[in-house]
Amino acid sequence: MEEALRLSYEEDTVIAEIGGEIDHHRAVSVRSQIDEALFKRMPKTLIIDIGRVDFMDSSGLGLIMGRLAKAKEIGASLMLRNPSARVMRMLKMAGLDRIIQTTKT
Amino acid sequence: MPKKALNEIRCTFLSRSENEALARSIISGFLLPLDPTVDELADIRCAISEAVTNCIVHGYRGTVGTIVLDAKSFDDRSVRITVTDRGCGIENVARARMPLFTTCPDEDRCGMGFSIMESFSDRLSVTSAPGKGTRITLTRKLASPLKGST
Repeated sequence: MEEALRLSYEEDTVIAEIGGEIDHHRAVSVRSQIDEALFKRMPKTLIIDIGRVDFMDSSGLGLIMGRLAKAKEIGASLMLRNPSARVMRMLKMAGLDRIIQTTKT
Repeated sequence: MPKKALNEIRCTFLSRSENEALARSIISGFLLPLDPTVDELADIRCAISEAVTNCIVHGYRGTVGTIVLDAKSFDDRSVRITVTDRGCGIENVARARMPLFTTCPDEDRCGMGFSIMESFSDRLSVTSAPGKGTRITLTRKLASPLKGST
């Protein structure tokens, strides 16, 4: 099974690489691990890399929206890395494409 | 000429969150012999995941009940999928279907479940009665295998 979450750190940045499927079931543990890293490291930037995600439903959108709020709480910015065309479509549906920065590597 | 049913399944499972992935696997197994496009399969898997999550998060909130997944395919390449729970029901279906409406914002629910189900199906109907449960029915016509893309 694809590793669900890999956390790494670079200076003032926390990088959360999510793999596999993001549904309501898996989002619970991914969310708590990212939040733990966020509040422990207090970074300036949180990067969520979803390039290895092969399925996501609205629980994934909720996960991203929630991390945006948590990042704001500590004065950090959120960057969404490697979203697929499908994920971008869902971000647009929720209007998140206008408020979340995205990048490709 | 009325369309003819080709295949039909009914599965019953508990409203445990690990069964969200199970429901997606079941519907994939049902659809694959129909030769859907990659996008069609992904759309329907996502819509079913939303419907089942709705049963777990809202219908049976904090309790465990049963979810029934029915799927039926027809000779015009349409499929009709129904997800039914006997949970708490929805008081105001029209409000629940509004984009970004959620009753649990503190749990990272974004209120896009019904919007995604609507977007990924040709037709979506929601019937619900408070205290009795909710039934979500989506229909989607698959492209011809010869004309299908992706």
